[in-house]
Amino acid sequence: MTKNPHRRGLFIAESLTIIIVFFGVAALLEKTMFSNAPLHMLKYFYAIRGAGASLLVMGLAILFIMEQHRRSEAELKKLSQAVEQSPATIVITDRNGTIEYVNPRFTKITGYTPEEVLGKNPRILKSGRTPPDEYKSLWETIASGKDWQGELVNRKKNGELYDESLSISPIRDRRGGIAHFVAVLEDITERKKIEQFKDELVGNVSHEIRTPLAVIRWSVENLRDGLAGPLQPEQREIVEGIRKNCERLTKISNDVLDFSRLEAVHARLNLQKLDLPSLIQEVVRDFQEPYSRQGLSLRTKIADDLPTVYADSDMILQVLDNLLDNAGRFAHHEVAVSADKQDDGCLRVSIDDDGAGIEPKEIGGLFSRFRQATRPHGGTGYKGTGLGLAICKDIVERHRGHIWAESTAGRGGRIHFSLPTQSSESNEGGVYEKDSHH
Amino acid sequence: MKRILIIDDEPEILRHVKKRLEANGFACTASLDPVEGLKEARTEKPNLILLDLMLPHMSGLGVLGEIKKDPALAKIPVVILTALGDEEVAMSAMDAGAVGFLNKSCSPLELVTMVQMYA
Repeated sequence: MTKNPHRRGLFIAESLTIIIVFFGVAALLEKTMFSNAPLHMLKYFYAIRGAGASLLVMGLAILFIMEQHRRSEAELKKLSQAVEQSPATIVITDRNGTIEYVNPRFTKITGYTPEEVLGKNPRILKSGRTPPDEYKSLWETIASGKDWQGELVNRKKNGELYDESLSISPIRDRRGGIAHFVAVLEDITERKKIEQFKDELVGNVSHEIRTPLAVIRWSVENLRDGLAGPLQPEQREIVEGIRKNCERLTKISNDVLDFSRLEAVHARLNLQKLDLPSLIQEVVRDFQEPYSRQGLSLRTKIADDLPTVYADSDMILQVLDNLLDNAGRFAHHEVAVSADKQDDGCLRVSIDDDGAGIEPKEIGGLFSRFRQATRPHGGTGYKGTGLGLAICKDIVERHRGHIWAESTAGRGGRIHFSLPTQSSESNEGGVYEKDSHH
Repeated sequence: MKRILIIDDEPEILRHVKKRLEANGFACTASLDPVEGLKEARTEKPNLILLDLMLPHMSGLGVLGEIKKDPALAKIPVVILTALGDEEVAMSAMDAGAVGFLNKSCSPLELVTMVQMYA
């Protein structure tokens, strides 16, 4: 409870004044009226004074309790007004998820009055647009006593869909058990629309530049290969420079498109039993030629006891592709791809390069959009878009996996990603759409 | 000499692809318009058609449908060459009977290899 020191000081001063005045008056009476009185009168006086003092103490105690009560009521009123008038939607449920309280903002956003929702489950807002595994993760998290933050697509009373960002925290009772859940929600429909517009814009622009880029590329390649007549060595060098940069620009526009597609579509994962060795083989085959052009060798080490993982093969292939592309830009001589089973049973894939390593201060931001570690380049590789690793992170996290980097400066860089195994998941919520083995 | 028909409304792409294929020993006919291109296909009977998807008057998938409907053309292999890099577009083109799908940002070597494979 918030304390008000000013009001507390005032209360103590008032109480002290009453005590001083009482005993002052009593002492004055004793001196003046009863100084010459007989002994029994003095006894009466002391008895009366004693009773008066007790009454006074009781009165003060009552005053004190009333003051405390008044103060907690004021605090409660302040808190409840804050909740009532909050610009955020606030919902309180019991431990089973039954709604016990909604603030007026809830009614304003959803159209449901408190009478319509109290005693009901928040699932009345479900739109069917949020993947079931999102709800699963929500309940698992809050039931284990942790906070959950995420986004849901819900449906208003009038049927309209809206995007909501929410944070749910368990409220514990005195014994530490979960008594309630409090959810703070924010309508982010407008923000989502702007984001969607931005993504579409980025997607469209990068799509529109593909045709002119292709024209440049074809012109340059034909020119370089002498289809328009032989070139002098210096001319050839210039044309080769144009070609390389054109290739780089194409890669950037592809990455931007990939990313905006990932963001905009919010693609549903097409989960199947992952044949990781084949995927690795496929990606290694694709990289053999560009790597050998850079003088790099590619090594693979795949453990025999890989755990069974359900994942979207195309997306994991894209992760491997981006990671090998990334490693190739930093390696001096060699890149190694390995896959094994982690101690916690998860599948782990690691990509090592023998380049200059990643500075420890760079590791944290390595997977953010448009970030590139400023580590010295190994070979003749080109710079990336800074989106490749962000794409990997997005994909791996959609599979509820983790991606992280390790590096000792000067001893190469290492990026790992892990994917949860089948046993740490359940089939609830239709997560596994194409599970052909069950 | 194998004959290739290229249908693409982008003259610059058309010119360079044609040049590249000719340098690799193919005889090329080019058409900027899908309707003209279909006429050309009926008279020329090419060994392979390279088809763009975003075309004026008629979509590339529409042209592909017309080719596959016409018994005289149905057997001609069609390779899609487009700036649309979408997997979904690629899948629908393959479903509609195309034998290959190439992005315009592919390397000339990839294009030549595919044309050699199917023509």
